[in-house]
Amino acid sequence: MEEQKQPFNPLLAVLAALAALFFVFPLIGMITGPPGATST
Amino acid sequence: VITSKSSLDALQLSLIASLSSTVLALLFGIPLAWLLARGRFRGKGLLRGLVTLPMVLPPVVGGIALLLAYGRRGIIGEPLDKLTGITLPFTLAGVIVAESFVAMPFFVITAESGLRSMNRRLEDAARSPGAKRLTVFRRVTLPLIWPSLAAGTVLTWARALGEFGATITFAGNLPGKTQTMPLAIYISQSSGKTDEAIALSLILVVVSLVVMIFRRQTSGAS
Repeated sequence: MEEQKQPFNPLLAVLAALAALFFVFPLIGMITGPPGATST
Repeated sequence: VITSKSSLDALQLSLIASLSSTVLALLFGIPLAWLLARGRFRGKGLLRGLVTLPMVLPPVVGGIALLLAYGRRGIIGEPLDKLTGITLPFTLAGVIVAESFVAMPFFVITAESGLRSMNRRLEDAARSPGAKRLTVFRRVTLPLIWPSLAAGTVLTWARALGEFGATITFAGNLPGKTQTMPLAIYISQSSGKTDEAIALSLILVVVSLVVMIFRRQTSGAS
């Protein structure tokens, strides 16, 4: 039997995106540093 | 010692925070695991790496990263504070965020592994007679991946319950507010109250043991 394509449920997609962003933002924060920070 | 107010507060906080982060891991972790297991998009490997990074990252570094993202001056925390007045650091919500950050990856990779290893033909066969996607998920997918979900849930909860580094960095150590059991144990030990530290440690051992036995029995029954 050929595998059927499975469209992603919109609610699941939103929850998955939020969960992914939860892990992405801390890394972005570490790369950019706190706002107004200056390196000496 | 065990019935002192500070000990009971720490136990209560630990249970509330660890259970809340476990519920959040279930709510957001299943869709994320589904995306990683079934989604086809560029950068999936990078995303998986980012999601699992907190498992290998020193928890204190995780706490610093959380402060830079969700702290009062963080890239998300600052607009969140200005727009809604909500601040996460040094609050119970902050404890839950810190515990979720380090514990949720355990659930995601376990659930993803379950989704990858299950027999997809059973889903396809169930969908063929016209069953709705939600029905197929509830009646076919969920029972098949249930052992993975149960194992992931217990791992996540145990990791959240024992969380120390990210919690103390992001949420501080405020008795009755953000001081969880591991923090209370550390404070007792470092202030020379060894008996109190041992008593508090024993509570965590008993709570963890009860959950592990319960998990063993329920997985055996299913």
